[in-house]
Amino acid sequence: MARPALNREARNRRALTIGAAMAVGFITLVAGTVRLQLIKHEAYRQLAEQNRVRLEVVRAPRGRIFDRSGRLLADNTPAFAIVFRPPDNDLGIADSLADAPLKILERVLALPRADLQAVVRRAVRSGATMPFREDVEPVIVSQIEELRAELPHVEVQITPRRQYPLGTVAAHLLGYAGEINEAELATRKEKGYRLGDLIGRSGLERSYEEALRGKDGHQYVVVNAMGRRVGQLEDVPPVAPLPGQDLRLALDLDVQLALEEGMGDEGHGAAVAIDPRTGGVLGMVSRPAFDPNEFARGLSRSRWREFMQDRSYPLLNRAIQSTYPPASTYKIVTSLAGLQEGVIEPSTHMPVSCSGGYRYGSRWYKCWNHSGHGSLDLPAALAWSCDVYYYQLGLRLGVDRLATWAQKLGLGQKTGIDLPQERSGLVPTTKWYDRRRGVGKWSNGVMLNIAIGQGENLYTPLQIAQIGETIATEGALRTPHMVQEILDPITGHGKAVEPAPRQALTLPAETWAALSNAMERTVSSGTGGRAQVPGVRVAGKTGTGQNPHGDDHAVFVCYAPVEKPTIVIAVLVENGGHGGSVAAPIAQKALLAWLAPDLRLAQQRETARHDSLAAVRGIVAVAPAPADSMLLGD
Amino acid sequence: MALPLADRRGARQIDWILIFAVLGLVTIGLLLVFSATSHPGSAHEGFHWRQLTWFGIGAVCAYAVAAVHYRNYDTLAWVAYAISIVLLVLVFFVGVEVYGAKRWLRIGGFQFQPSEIAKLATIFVLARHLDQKRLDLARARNWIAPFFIVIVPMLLVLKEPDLATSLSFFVFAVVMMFWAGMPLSTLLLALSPVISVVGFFLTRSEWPFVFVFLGLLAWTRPRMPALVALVLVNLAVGLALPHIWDGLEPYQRGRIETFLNPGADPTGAGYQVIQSQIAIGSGGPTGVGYLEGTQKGLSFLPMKHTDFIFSVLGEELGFWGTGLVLILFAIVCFRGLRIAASARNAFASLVAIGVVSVFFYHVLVNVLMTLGWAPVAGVPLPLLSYGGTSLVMNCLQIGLLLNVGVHRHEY
Repeated sequence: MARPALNREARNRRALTIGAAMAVGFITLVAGTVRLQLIKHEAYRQLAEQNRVRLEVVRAPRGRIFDRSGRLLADNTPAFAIVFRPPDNDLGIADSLADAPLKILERVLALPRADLQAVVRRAVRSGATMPFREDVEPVIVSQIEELRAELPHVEVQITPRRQYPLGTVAAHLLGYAGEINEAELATRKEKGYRLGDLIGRSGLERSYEEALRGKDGHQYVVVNAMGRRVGQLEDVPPVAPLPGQDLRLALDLDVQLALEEGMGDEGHGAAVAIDPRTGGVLGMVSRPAFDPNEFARGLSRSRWREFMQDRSYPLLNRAIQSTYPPASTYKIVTSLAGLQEGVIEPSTHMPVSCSGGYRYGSRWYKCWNHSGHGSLDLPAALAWSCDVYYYQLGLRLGVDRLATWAQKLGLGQKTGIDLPQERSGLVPTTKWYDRRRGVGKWSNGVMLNIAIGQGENLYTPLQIAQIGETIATEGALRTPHMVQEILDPITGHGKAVEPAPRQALTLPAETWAALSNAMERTVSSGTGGRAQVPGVRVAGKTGTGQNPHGDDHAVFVCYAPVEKPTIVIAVLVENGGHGGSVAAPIAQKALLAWLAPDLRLAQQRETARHDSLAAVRGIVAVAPAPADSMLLGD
Repeated sequence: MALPLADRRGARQIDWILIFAVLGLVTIGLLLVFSATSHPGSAHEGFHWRQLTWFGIGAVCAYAVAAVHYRNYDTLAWVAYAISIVLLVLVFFVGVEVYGAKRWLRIGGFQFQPSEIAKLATIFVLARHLDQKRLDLARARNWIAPFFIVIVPMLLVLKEPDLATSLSFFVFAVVMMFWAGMPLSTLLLALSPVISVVGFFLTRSEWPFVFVFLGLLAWTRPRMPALVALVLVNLAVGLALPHIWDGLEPYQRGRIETFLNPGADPTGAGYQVIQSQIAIGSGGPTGVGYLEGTQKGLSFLPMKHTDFIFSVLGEELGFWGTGLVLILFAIVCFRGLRIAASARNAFASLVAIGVVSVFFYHVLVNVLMTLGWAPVAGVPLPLLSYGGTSLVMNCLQIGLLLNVGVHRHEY
């Protein structure tokens, strides 16, 4: 059955419209071929005849890391590799080198012939550039450059490598960046990572990966039949790489070096210094240390295995990744909990005075001072670190009330510092004991141990520093952070990081003053005497952490100046023994560096046996000043 | 069933010019595939024989399609459409992945692209719908059914992902709506949100489009409800887009940019375009001579016998070669348009214009790409590029055009 026809006239008009559109299309195509083949023919003929175009990636330099006054902690250095770039055609070129270039390479690179041929074979098969030798000395580079004409397809490739001019100094917090591996590439391809890119693996290099890494640029270069560059393709402008953003840390290199020196080269442990006004980390040391340069260069398999099997875990940043009993420094927390819960006043004396110990149930709990402290009020008990006082305070509080206040001080949780893989520590609660030991299978006796910071309490040295910071700031803790500013490499503008305080505690000013005085007494006339700094009021608390696996851990936390604190320090030396004699002197060095640099220099000259430090200072002196240090405001 | 080619009257009705143009293109294509694949060390040696075989199959199909009266296809349209949707869904699950996209189905030792079949089936269904309903296409409510007919296979193809092929659905749908009576001004207004989105991604700015939109409104003067609806939709799109764009992660933006403009990816597609331009440009007026091309031997064009066959043509046969091929393509397109315009049967006419528009779109996008004027989209050049599904389907479509042409006086 025939349906009514479309309106012929209207359709012819439409056909005309479509025809016109198609005509425009074809004219465009012809115009395009005319442009390429008739107008620009000569230029393209030359390109095609002797030259080819190759895309080269221009790697963006990774952002640098500076301390607070612009002293360099991490930057980039060019590393040279001698590579074989297989020709871009599939005309089936021989997958071996001729005799003459082989001889040259054997001599210059000092590699056996078989190795060289193997690299060439692999390169030709995969079509990708393969290195003969990586990280070669400049001497070899210049020799290869001189002999270029005789070495077809052999090139010198420059790749940026991460460099840490101070070696092991601040190694744990900086972390390290190395060449991306296949597995990392597979998961990050969509973020634009390419083979050969650097990627942060630990520390700040890892947590600020997004800021530090730049954006690679590219350019089209014209190469001749030998694969040599003869120039740039003019039609396509190169895209310049966008360098990564620089980091300016809150870290003060002087404080850091003082802590590094204090911690020594032997032994295990960690030390942290924080500016309580901002939460900025002034120094962070972990022992044993490692040299991130080793990782930046690339580790051999055996060296890597060595690191992995090292039972002292040198890669572990003990300041945030290891937990320890806080020992007597925890008495600060117990005191605060008692005051906040209203179970004591600063003037409260406990019913049982200290006679060298305390009987609870059938057990005798000793005070560290076997001859006894007598009857004390709270400040005195804190200053003398009287265990008997705190046993009774702990019993008044109970496990969970103490745990609640410990948690309000941020214990048992990550502090939120801008470093990866922080541990949260452990605040034991009744629930925790029930789960761990079984309901009814533990006695309130654990309370006595917790109250004096022994037992199941486990915190990172950074968290222990925050215990001191609580008193220093009168309860206004700030999230600790490493990075003070992220600097735009082009404009030099920085974006400041200053976290807001979180007010956890509300105590009258007199109470804070009482606690602070007690801690000041610890340093001026008590166990923390070795942290004294002439002319500066220092408050502190020592601790000796019982360690079931060996010698006691030495703990010390302090802040200064008492009237307006600008630094809080926590030091933990594993198996160090007594906090006052081992940990306090380490803190003292940092206090000197921060508050009385002149005194410190005098002290150095006096003792004149700090060879290691002198060496480190030497490096700082010769390290090239950052090009844009004036931007950093130092 | 009449076999129009068998009797003399049928033979006179055949569009011999179209046939000769197609034969010319296929011959040139075979020669170029041979040239692009036969140099020493090629991984694709002997592909010209395979291509010849495909052409044999294509020619038989074309004859069969031309011989069976199109009336019979009318009834089959929905069946073919349903099958092709099923095939497109199947691609997701059992498709073969090539260059990161799942576009192929393998049956036995034989691979084909369901999107090519879906294209033709959708043209049939849309033609049938527009023919049977004869609705006033100036009214928006009559766009709903065509919209859904086209959008389902289009989105499935887009998801493969195959942006260029999915856009071809858009192209033939728009052309067929226009052909079926939709006023050009209305068409442009209806497309304004789409133009707006594309414009945003190309220019990162909404302003050029605002002026175009206002111009369109002034030209068409739509009625008040339509005017309000259009302004609202465009405003919503315009306000939401930069917002959505800013909310995306940088790498997601990168993906979209690469998706819309693969040439922006410096390691991949941009390189091919530059090499393609060098090949075409170095050919000059007369070319470097058949089989003499130097650029094709280099591995810069991994798709030199498929998507970049025009570059090989440009280098070896020069401007005379490219000119000849473009003229042959123009002949095919304009003869096809003539057939569509002369067919008295509305269904046949709509099918013809759909087929012609897709053919033209492919030629345009492919050649623009080799000239460096369009993104690298992965569209083969019809009748020239190596590839079985594409060649057979193109022959089949030419057969359809011939069929419509033979019966053009029938209602």
